[in-house]
Amino acid sequence: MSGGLFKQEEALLDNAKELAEANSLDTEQYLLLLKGYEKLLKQTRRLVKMSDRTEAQLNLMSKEQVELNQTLSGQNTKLETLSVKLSKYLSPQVYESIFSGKSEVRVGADRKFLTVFFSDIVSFTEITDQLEPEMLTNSLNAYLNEMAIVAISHGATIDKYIGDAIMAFFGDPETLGPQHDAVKCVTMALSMQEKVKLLNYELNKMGVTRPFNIRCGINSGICTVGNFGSENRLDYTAIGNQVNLASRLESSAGVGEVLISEETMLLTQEHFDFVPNQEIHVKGFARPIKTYTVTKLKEAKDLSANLSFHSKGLDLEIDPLVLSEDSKKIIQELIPQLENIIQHSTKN
Amino acid sequence: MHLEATNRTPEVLISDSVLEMKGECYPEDITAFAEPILELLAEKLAACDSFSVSLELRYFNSSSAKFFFDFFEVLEETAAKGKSISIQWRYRSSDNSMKEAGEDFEEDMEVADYQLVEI
Repeated sequence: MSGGLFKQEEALLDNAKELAEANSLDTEQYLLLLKGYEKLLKQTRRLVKMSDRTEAQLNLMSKEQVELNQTLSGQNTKLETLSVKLSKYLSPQVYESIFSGKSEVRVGADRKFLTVFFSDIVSFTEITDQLEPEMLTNSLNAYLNEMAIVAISHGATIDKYIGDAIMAFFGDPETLGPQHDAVKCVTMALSMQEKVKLLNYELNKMGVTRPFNIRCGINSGICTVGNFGSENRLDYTAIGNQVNLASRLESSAGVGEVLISEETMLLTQEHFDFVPNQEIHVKGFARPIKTYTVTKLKEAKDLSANLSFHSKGLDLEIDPLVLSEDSKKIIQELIPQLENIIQHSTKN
Repeated sequence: MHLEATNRTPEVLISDSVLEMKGECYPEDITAFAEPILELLAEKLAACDSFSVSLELRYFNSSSAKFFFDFFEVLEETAAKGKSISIQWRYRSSDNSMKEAGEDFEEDMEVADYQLVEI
């Protein structure tokens, strides 16, 4: 505490000390000193009282703060649990967009360039007739789960499941640009076709004797995408003629086929091989729609395909289409380390 | 004198016949804060016949409490000399701490007109 604050008291003490040393402390001086001491004692008592009161108040506030923190922590845990549960009802991109505050949760839509994907299981109605309800549920969920993993790993926004059908799109809420979005969508469709073949082996072990075969339809174009519905119940989806066309391509696709529109073909022709297919007539389109069947990834473009390996001790995901310069440097730096790891693990 | 409030000191306004203080008081340097106020207060009290003080504090620390003891002592001594001194200690109805502090200071006020005002 500053000396200035006790200037009066110090002056009184100095004076008393001086008089005492000079042996001239008379009654008047003594009474003055006594009065000063009484005043200080009174102030000290009040200061102690005030200090204790402040301490008690701080303790109370601290206790309340601890209780409040505990309540908040409990509520946060509940919210986290709830948001994890909610996230399963939403596409990761939509979930991220909403929970990061990038998107407003309100009725409203925008016009955006999307690549829209539809798929379903060929003759699924017939398959369901042959399966017990429990087996049907297990196999359908296993199928949808595997397809969702493929879709999410390629960055798709899963719009909805309609029974065995899947609707997904690329271009909102995040986009890599129309061309990359379209390439990713076609890559995803081919991956799904491959995945179904592997899944059929598992399903067969479960007792599903008739294999699943899927057909996929893809179209790219301007769609209306956003939240539709009422203020109380919203559905984040894409609508419009281009969406209808993607659905129509899917229903026109053959077994195990990925059928795409001319627009999608033009966006992805550097990356895939196609064969022209029959023109189709779609409501809302004046001219017949040219269609193309994706046959495979172009050999020369293999290098631009996703590197995706996941097994015990290995978790690798590289997407050359979106690889930044920094990421490329990191990969170069990692190569010697990887060689060391291989040599070391071989010795072991 | 008009001192703007900071996060550690109250707003202070001193004119020829009025002193107002409002806010929180726990300055880093209590002497630097208190001395100019006490000096100017003494000057104004010496020159006036009547003086009004309004204090509305939300928090003050122990050093500031010592300053207020001296502050009220000056006012009481001036009132004892025959000048009209009125003091309002204003506190929020929910703030028991400031109410009790006001009651503590009131104990020393025998001549000056000291009022506790709930706001």
